[in-house]
Amino acid sequence: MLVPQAMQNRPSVIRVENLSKKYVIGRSRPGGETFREAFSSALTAPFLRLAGRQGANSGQEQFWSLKDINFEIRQGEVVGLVGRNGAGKSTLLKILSRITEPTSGRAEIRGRVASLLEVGTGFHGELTGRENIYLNGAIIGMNRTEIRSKFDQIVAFAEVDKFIDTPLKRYSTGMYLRLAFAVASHLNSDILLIDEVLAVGDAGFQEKCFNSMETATKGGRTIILVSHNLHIVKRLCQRAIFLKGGRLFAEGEVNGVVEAYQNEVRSTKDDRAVEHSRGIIFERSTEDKPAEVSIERIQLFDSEFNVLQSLATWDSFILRIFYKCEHEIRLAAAELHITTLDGVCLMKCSSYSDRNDRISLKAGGGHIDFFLKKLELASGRYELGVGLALAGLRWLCFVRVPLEIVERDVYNSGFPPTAVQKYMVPQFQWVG
Amino acid sequence: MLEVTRNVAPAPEKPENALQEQYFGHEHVTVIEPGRGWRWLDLRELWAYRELLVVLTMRDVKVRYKQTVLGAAWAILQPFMTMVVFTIFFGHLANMPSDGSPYPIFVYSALVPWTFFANAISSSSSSLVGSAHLVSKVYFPRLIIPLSAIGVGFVDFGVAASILLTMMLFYGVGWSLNLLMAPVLLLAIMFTALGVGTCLSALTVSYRDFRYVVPFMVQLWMFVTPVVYPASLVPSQWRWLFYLNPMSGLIEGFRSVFLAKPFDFLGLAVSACVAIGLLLVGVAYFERVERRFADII
Repeated sequence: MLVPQAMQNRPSVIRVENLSKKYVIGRSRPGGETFREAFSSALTAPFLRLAGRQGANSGQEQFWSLKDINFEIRQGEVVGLVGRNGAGKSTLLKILSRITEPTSGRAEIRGRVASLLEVGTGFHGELTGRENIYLNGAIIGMNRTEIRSKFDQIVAFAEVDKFIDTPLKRYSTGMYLRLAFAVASHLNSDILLIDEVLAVGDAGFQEKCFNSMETATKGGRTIILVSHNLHIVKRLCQRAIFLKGGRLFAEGEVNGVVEAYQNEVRSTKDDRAVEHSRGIIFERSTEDKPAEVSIERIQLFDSEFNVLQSLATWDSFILRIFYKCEHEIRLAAAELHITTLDGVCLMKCSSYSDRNDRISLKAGGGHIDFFLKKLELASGRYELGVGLALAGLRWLCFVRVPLEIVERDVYNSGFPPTAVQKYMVPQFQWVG
Repeated sequence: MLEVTRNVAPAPEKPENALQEQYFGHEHVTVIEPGRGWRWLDLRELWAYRELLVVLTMRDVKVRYKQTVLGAAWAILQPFMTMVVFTIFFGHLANMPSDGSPYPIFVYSALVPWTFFANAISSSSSSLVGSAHLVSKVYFPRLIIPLSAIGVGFVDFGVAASILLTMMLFYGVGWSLNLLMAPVLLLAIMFTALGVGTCLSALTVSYRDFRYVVPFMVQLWMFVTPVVYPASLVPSQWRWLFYLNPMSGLIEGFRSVFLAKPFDFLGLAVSACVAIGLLLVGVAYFERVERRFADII
């Protein structure tokens, strides 16, 4: 058994050198261009090149999702990858799992790599639970004998033994997720790349997944974990990498890096406060890559749909979420979190696991509203997370914005409650 | 140093063979670099991933036969009804020559392989876009997707061919050693479909226009292929041009198989060469653009 000090002597299993990835943005269609445009540019490109001009891409804007990333990870290390949305975390994971190629630079990985960018990849509703275990297992890189030998464990972990020969479409959301995670957690690889797969499921199951991951980290595996939940990062990882705007901003022992990230979140927050004047607390920047579904804007209203400039303790409010969506999605779900800056989740309001609110997204775009009767939180700074998902399956988009709650003397004591003393501000009474 | 590695590594599983070890083993080094230009298909990697191919094909087969009420009947009905319609219009009303065989079996023996080809092309060309969620979340040789889309067709082919064998009993024709050539011809049709299908599937990722091109193209292609008419209808000085369409030689070959007629080996050879050429071009183009799929799909 090796002691942590010996970590330095362990061989490096992931080495990343000057890794960069460029995306060309400003395209109107997912395919980028129509065949006619491509055809004509293919015809003219050689002549433009002869004339010493750049060719087809000159008019398009370039976006470096990752720029000159260098790091090394030794065997058995669990490394957290933190950063804001669009900092390049997912791109880095996609390059390391070979889904997409880098534009320049190089990475070397020693050992069997598996990536879990979502759970239940390839699950098919018409097939039974048993068939889906083999299907999903093969897709994430397990071979048949491996799946067969772990089959009973997977079924036991997912607690679906009675329904194992039932088509997946008859499964409840919870069963579906349990099965998906169960297969993923039995994947035996030397190196595991995980992208926030824990962000689904109810609290009890999340804890179970979390424990199984903690066990996995003790087995000598090398893990790279992308998460916005800084508690999870702190608990699981020894080391962290902080990406900012596609560059490696900080790297090292986990607590220091997480603190640097939190400071960064706090400092950039003040720039955004200006937008509050129109009640707009989030607006998608045009530099972001277009996605299948995106949240365009989040606007704050009071219960009569008047624009709300700021939120105070005990306010009732409406959050209007404007989205863009390529095609109609009937079984969508929406979720809202309010977390402390340390990443402790104070409230999570989900349309599908907490309530059974039916949300559907219209083709093209539209808006959905979130009503909150009473904001029982003390004044202070929080983080608001709003996400849209395919109910129970995967996130479509998720945005995080700083949330400032201003003080109000709700108890008429002369001392409005602040987050320095406590977070929760319930309506209560003592009788004696 | 290496011994330290050995000690801390999670209990290594016994790899099944050297190839599995090379691609999934604990000592395998993956180098990730930007690729440029043309590169050749890594056949060994494809072979290492064969289980995934089998699993994906089985998924398509199961789903296809689970969702439908009539199940396997669809594989029969599609070419069978076409045969009935063609027999009425081309065989009886238009009096199309059929080289002396009864027209129903003449046209059905071509429709069975043609249906396989047409389905293989249309399903493989839409396969990549249909599997966007896999392509953007997991790595594997992307060629597996159009390959597995073609795989489903083999089951349908088997079902439809069983009707053909029944018809051969009914008409009392076609029982000969020529039947042994069927697998070879089927393989050649698969090569053609794969060559065209991979190209189209890759193009569909970049240009969705091709979704509208494919059905139209398949329809036109059927009429330049001797499905409803015999190749003997084509003037002999133009025969060589006719056989540049690989499906001409292969469909005529299938007729020789099921109607026990002599093979036109020259036509077959020309068509087979074009088929292999198409396969090479298709796969090469696919490999060249494969690495962009996840970014643009």
